[in-house]
Amino acid sequence: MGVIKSGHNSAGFPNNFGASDAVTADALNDHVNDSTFNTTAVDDSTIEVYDSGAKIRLKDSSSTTTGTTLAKLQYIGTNKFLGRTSANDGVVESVDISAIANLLRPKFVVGTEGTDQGSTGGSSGTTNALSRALVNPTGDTSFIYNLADFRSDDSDFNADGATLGYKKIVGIYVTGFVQSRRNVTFISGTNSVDGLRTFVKTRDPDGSGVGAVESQSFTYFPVNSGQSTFELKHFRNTDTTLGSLDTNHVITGFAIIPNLPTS
Amino acid sequence: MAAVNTGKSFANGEQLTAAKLNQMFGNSTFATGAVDNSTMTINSLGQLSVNQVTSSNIATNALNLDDIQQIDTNKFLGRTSSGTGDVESVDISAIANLLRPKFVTAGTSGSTALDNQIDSGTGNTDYVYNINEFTSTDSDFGSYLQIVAVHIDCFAQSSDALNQVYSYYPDGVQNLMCAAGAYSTADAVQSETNSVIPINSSQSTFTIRHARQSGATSADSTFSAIRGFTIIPNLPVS
Repeated sequence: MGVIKSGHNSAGFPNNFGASDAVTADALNDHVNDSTFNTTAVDDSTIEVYDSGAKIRLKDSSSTTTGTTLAKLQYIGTNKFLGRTSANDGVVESVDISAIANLLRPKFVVGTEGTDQGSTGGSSGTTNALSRALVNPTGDTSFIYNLADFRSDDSDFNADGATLGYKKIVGIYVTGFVQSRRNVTFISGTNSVDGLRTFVKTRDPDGSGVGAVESQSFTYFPVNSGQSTFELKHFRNTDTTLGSLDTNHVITGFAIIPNLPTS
Repeated sequence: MAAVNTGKSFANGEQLTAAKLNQMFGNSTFATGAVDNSTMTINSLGQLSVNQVTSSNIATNALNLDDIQQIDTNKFLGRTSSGTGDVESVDISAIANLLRPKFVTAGTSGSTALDNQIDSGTGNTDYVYNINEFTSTDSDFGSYLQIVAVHIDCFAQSSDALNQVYSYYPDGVQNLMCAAGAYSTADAVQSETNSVIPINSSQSTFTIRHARQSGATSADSTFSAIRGFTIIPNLPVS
């Protein structure tokens, strides 16, 4: 079959002259002027016939071996990737891995607000609820933070809106302080995956109740994708007859990856 | 030269028939001059085919992403093989590996000692580090600019006071790393921790503070040591 189809249509013989067709000027003109590309005119791999044979175009890829294969693209260097880091829409660029690393670099941001803990366990602290202290109550008290309530004033945190920045959080920095006059007192943190992990603990070694010992520490809790809450739990196994006993925690800030999606 | 070769060449005086007219196109082929043989070619079956795409033979911005061969989920176009060469389909795991953080041991001290211990006296003592003086002998350590966190060992001892070791977050907020407090001479306590403090891009200094409360005795030591750094080896070094 030829690469071109006639533009002349005869009854019962599309794109052909019928045996009894008169050869007229119109018929000859249609023969050429209305001719179209036959589908066999192209390889139908790299290019294709479309618009009823009127046009030819590059074919969209339909597999890993069709379309413009990677071998047909220009060479690039080791650890380069195709993308764009220049401002605005524009040509695809060869981007070094170092530029990508920079785009994915974690950043520490100060926390300014979290879930309101009210007076949970008789606690007190700043109104933003990131800092909470227990003084007199005994027993265990949990402070559960919804990640969606975390806020920061950092511009990278708020780039997509202050209420969405929490989705960029990959870790939480927490400071803890515990006192003991006799028994073990400690604070643990937990996430939705890993269970409780103690990060600060103390116990008065002589247990006399005279004086007190205290310990402070800080740690980093990773936050996984899909995690919705973060808990800090104060364990206060003290004898209240010995006097007041302080435990407190402060969520100081968050590790974020500024370019994580917020939607 | 025409782009198409007729499928039927007529001789002078030859009888014109429908069949012959149909053969003109029905058996037509592309002429070799119909393509540039650069971007387009005529393959062995006589069909038009894309030949080679270079910047000089395709219109600017003419190639859409749809035109490029398909790739699988979480693959990216790039190259991890050595040297300059073909674009490759690179799995995200390979990219993640290129961006994987690495712990490296701290090298020699700069203008501020990496290890500091105080055994007596009270008050605050600050050790201010210029981050551009941090070094490591690790082969992946190319510059302080690759540092994203500092690893610190801390020790505090107390027999009758509160002794603390602080660092500072990138924004300057004080961060308590280690503390020991005892409020009876009968209670002697020690505390030791290892902390990882984040370092932000463009941060230039890093400070560790030993805070020794009034009443600290000569037996109450505070100690800090920068043991190493978390780096991302492929972060830019300039």
